[in-house]
Amino acid sequence: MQRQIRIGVCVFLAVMAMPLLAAEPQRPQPDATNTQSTYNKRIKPLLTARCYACHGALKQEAGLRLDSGQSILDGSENGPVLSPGTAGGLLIDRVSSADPTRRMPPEGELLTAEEIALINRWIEDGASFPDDDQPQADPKRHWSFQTPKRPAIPNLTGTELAKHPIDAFVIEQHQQRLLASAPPAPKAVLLRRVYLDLIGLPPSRLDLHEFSTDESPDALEKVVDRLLASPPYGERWGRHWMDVWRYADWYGRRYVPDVWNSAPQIWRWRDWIVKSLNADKSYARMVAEMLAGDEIAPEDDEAGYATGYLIRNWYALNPNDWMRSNVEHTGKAFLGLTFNCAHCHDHKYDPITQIDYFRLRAFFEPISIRQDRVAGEPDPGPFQEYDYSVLRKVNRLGGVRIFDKTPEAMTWFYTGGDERNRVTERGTIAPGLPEFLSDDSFKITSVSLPPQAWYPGSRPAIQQSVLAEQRSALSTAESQLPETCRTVEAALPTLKQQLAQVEQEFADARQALSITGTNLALTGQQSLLMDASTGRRVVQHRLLQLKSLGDTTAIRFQMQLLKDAHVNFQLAKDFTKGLTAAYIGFDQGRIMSYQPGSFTEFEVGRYNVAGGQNRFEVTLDLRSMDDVGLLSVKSTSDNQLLVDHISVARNGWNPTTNADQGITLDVRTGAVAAFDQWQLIARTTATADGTANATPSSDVCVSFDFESPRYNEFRDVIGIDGWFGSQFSAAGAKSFVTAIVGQDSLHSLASKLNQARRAVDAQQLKQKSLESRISALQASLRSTQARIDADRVRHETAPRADADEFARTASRLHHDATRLTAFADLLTKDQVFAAAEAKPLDDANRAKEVEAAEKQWQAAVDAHYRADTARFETAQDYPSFSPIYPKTSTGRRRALAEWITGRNNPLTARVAVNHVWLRHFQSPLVATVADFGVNGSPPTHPELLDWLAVEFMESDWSMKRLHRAIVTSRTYGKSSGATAGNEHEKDVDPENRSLWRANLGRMESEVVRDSLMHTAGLLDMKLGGQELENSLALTTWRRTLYYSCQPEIDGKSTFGALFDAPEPADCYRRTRSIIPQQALALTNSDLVQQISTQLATQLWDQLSTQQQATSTDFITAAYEHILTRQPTKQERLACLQFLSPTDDGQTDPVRSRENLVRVLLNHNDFVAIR
Amino acid sequence: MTKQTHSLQHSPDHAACGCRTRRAFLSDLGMGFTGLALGAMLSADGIHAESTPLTSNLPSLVPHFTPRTKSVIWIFLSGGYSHLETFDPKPALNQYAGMTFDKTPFENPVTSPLQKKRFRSVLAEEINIRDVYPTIYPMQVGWKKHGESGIEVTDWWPHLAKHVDDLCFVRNMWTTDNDHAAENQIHTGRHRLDETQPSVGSWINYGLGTLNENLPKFVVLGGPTRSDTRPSIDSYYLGPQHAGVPFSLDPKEPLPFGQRPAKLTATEQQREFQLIGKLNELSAIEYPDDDALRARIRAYELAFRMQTAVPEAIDFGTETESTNTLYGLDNDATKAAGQKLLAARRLVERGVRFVQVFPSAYGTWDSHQKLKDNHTRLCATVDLPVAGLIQDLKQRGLMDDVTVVFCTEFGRTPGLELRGGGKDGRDHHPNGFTIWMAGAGIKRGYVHGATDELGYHALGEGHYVTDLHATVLRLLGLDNRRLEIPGRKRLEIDHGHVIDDILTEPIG
Repeated sequence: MQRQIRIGVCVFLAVMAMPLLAAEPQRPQPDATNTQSTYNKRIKPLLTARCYACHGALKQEAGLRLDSGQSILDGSENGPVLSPGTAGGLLIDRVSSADPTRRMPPEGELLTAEEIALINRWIEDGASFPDDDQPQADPKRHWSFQTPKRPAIPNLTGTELAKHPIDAFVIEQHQQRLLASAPPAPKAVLLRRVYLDLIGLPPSRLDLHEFSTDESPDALEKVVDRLLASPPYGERWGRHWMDVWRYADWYGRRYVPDVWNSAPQIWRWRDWIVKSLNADKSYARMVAEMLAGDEIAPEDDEAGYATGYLIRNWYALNPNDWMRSNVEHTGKAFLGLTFNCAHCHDHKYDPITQIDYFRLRAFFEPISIRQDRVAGEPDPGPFQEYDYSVLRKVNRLGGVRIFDKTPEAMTWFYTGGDERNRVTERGTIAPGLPEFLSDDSFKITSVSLPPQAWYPGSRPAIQQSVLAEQRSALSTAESQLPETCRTVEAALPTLKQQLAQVEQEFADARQALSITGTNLALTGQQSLLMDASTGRRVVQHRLLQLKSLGDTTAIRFQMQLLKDAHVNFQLAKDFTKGLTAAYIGFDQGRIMSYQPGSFTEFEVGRYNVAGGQNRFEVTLDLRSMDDVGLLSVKSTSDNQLLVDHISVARNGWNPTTNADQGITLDVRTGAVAAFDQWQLIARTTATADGTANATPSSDVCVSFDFESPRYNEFRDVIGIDGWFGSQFSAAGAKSFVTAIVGQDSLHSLASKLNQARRAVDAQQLKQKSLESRISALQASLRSTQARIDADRVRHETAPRADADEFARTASRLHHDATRLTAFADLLTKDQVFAAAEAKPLDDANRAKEVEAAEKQWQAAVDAHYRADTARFETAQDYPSFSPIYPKTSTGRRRALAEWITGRNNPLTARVAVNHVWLRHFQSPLVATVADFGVNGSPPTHPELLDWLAVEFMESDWSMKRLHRAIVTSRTYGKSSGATAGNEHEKDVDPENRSLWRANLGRMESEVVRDSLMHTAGLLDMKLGGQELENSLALTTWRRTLYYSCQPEIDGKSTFGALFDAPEPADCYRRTRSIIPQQALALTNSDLVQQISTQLATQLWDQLSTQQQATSTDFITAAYEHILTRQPTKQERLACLQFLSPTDDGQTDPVRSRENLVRVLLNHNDFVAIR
Repeated sequence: MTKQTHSLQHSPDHAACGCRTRRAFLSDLGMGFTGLALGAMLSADGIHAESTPLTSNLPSLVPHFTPRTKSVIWIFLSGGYSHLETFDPKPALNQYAGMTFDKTPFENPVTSPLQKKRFRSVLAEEINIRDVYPTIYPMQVGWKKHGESGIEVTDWWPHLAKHVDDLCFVRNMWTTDNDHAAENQIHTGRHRLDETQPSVGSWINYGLGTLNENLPKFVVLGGPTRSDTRPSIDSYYLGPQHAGVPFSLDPKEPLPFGQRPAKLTATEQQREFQLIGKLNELSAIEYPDDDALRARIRAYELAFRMQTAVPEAIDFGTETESTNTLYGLDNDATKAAGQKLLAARRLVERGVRFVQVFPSAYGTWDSHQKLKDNHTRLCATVDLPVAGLIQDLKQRGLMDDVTVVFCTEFGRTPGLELRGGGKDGRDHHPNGFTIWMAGAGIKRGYVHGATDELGYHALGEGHYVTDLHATVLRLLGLDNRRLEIPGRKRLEIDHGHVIDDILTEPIG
């Protein structure tokens, strides 16, 4: 976003004042040499900075170039822009214009009055420039855009030192610049350097002794080979590349936690990096796998994990942001190009147009993320896309990878870096290379994926893993059965006896009431009683048995109000969302419903409970054409018609098209009601007046009569015949089937009876649920095997005639397994529910537990009912073992990867070797490691860079070969300290650009921590695995790269942050600081205290008694072990003095040795790399 | 190979651009070990960036202009206080309460082109479009004119209102993020969807020399209180040595590892530090041109002193009872903010350059609902302590040495927030909000800029958040346009413009 530029008052004044300046009488005559010098020193730099982007080699807006004196004189397509010798002119006019649409430059700060006056004076003085003035070079000819060719190795005959090609290039430059080299580093220094460099850990004393005494010419090579072959090499250099490739563990809102960026499973990509490096996988292959592992090796999971490179950039809230990061960092990391600058406008320095930017984006446009199950681990489920206001959970299961989800996804051009400014007129942008690097052979062909790639669940390992999981669960369940049977058998007799007693008590009481002959039910023997004296009871039914719903269908039921408050019957619009379609409410004397076509309540009639109207027959004729129901309510107590065919809303209710529609009975606090004889009547022939008279019973298609044996007395209706409870129920209310409506005196006994029954149930259900679990698991195994078989047949290349038969079998067995599993779940929940209900009635926690258990049981009832009814569906469908993805991939990223890693790409190898060089030498050959463009730094050793790049490519991009070549050179092995003989070099090349000596380094934060722990033998060398939290970084011992790395506060350990831990958002090059807090960490932290204590003891214990007699050997051992060198004479003296007892100081020798060890850990030479 | 003898040749003179390389400078003087002191001095407070891409462009630490202030106390209230109910009261809200914007006699602010320009959602539009609430919600508090300047402040600021003649309000601030990442935006100058930049405090840390070697230049009190708001004190490519150093207010452990371990005696630790110094100095003789080693020697000296200097700086033991009362330390409601502000005053007295204070936790001021309740309670937590700080600075004569900034990430909507059945709150509002400043270099009793009649848009060009950075840096004598390092192009938007109108006199 650019801000509008202010009109500066001072500029106005300056412009106004200019003619006065020009007319100043005492000005000396212009001198051409002076003017030319002004041009070179001041005018040209000013024009370069402010004007070239649009008026130079890259662009010639208005046909004007300002990048040479001559082209300025040549002017624009509108004619000359100045007249030499005369102040003012178009150029001056445009840079000083008050009109923002005319004023140049169009972006950024205005030219200052001083700058304008300077240009004006130069014009007035004749606008002269030196003869050798050159225009800006063609950016397309920029060195890094030309394919590198292998340069000849300088033939420096007679120079023994230049045998190694790297040395030859370096020495050649020294000879040209008359520089002398620093001497080779002492062996001990070199050893420590190469250890820290290659594996990030210091050598031991033993390594030091061995190397010091190895006089063979290949002593160094042996060490190097050993280190490169050791697994810590992959960890050390893996961390370096993690910097460049922006490794970050998941973040977003860690405190919630909510995953917005990267992914919790991204550590598999980190492990892939380490493994790939240790296997010396070619750099080109690594880059290709990171960009397109899913396309180039679709069956290789590891290559899939490599695409973590793209997943790391993911941002849940805004896909455009994801695309921006992919473009920016693919450009920077692999190509050393700042494509991001072309996001809002054409690049100011490089020939990258804004359209090139979108072309690069288009390569990534179709991608999405999926998470595949890892064999032997539970299923992670589908990848969770972002949904506003839904947390994205931390899912650690499975492996994340990229795939082309939307091949048709369109890339749009937009302006100002804001995707809202889409320029639809430009059409969609196809993927393509930047024009200036285009390659005729570049082609995108789509990739046909093998089944294992588009259907990851088809992998034998995954399917076997599902089987193994089920077998294991089955054998666990089977092994538990005998013991369960024994306990149940032991407990049952007493409980049954207690139940028999209560049953007798209840029967007696009922006898005493003499109600055996008095049937209080509305019809038949029993009714459904809903008692909301406290709480609220809502029960629902899905009517799944209903197969069609005709236009002349009626609902009819009987109802009795025992306590009048609020009772309603509803047609449900959506159970899960708690939405209603239509309703009939009985509310303190008023019958309410919704007005047709709305959810607005209106009164349809009245009833009088006090006057004896408490039994009703409700009929609702559904008229789907008009989306209404005709409501009739008859008071059966006095046979009065209260509501007669009044139109009420239906609101599109149709349970046959939506399983979440059905019916609801809702009894609210204070009300008690009984329901009976609920019927849904589908009339085959409509009566003339369309009313529900004289309905033949054969037309009844759904009916609930609440009669035994299906409905047992005093049992809750929930769980029976498809009735389930609703989330809107509130504790305290009941819904049960009874014949003795209104007989309150029996209720407390009924509760007791229920409790005794449930105590028996609770025991029996233990066994039953386990038995049903075993059946379910057996069925699951059969189903899984059948699904595997059906999958195999389905995906065989030659179509098989019996494939459908296999599918039908799989489908049937799957439904069996699902039903049995749901049943086992139901029994398990019922067991918990029964156990809660079996608690003594006066138990304080009973009600709460019953409520919680009942909720879960209700859900299980619902799930079982659904599973049970699903079996009626005949289908060849069976669930797959994973989601199924597109069978082809666009091949865009494969094409991009091939181009990036192609032999002709001028940038990739140069950028890579520069990164490697930086980390060996503390300083790169091209200072701007992520910008090899025109505005980047030129290489200090262009030929060396090209030689390395070509050598790298021609040795199959082997990183280990590159490391070996570098660290065995004499250039690498030089001393970092300048001797007295190098005063000249220090003087002319203080920055050591010519590599006349080695650069001093400092351990990276990981190396500081790892080396501290390693020195005391504490470091755990286990490789790989899920990331650890930084809060554990100072008390656990894994290598530092395994601790969480992300940009939030806990993304670095306190210790790591102090020593410049990498910035996960952008760390092409690390910063390196020296701050007092580092000293505090190395002196005061518990970690260093612990290490000092342990190490002092270890070192002491390794000494012989004779050696322990004086402190000298301890000092030497400590120096060798901690600093990889022997102390100098003076150092030894200082340490001896420190260890000797003093009056005011430490007198305990053990403590003194600890103190000394801590001092050496704080020695500059511990963290410094000499 | 022969080596040509040279006369003593100096490194190229970079004086023209005012940024000679440090290494070049050291070698110019032919410094050996004796140059240690000067080397250490140049590395200022023991902080030294070596071999970074910045090597040859380390700031000179010399101000570009004559500074008008020595230190800045930057008070940030997280969550977005309502500009309307604090420092920018709007009678029109009461007059047109309940009416939608389009029914008022004013231009409908929602259809203004400014709406899109100054409002960019982090969420992609295909994921969620944020509603703009058009029904005017009346002012939830009364207001009065105060002081000789007659500046309107609402009744929730009884103590601060007494100092209104010392304050300078900027009522036309705007930002672009309408979500709480705006907390980072006001400190870094960039929207969440843009590349992150170093925070304002870290630029100051980078550009200015120290006034007290024993304390960091950039201290943070009470924040950032959430893991993802770290950018508000971070330094990114400037390197961690320039990030804010969070101090805890516990004098026992004000900063990590800042305390000698209990098992170590004072003498024992002193002996260790002495030996470290001695051994490193022996190395320095061997490696006379090792800048890093010198800086490290210095860092250890400082570290040793920081162990006492830091706890002392935040130890209120020497403060008087009346000072404690002034900051509200005797009251539970005001204690938390009061402690941080008193600590801030102690730190600037000791020369800390930039103290970033978070008086309240992340999102505290966010008042989507119950705005009246929230703001009544929240204003009462900071009103007295902030007023106390101003009074304390005045009575100590520090108003000419210290500049105070009081800000939040955005304002709140003039419309009633309706989300989730809302009936008494306001939503986030990036299009216009108010901050105030006070102290050295700043006009007193002055109001700069305004929002429209409805308090919706900042009028005129208004001030994007980096204008605040430019102003603060300029007061400290820095030109933010000269604080740029190679390879890290700063955009126009990052630099901002000094709000000249609020300065007592022009700078530079």
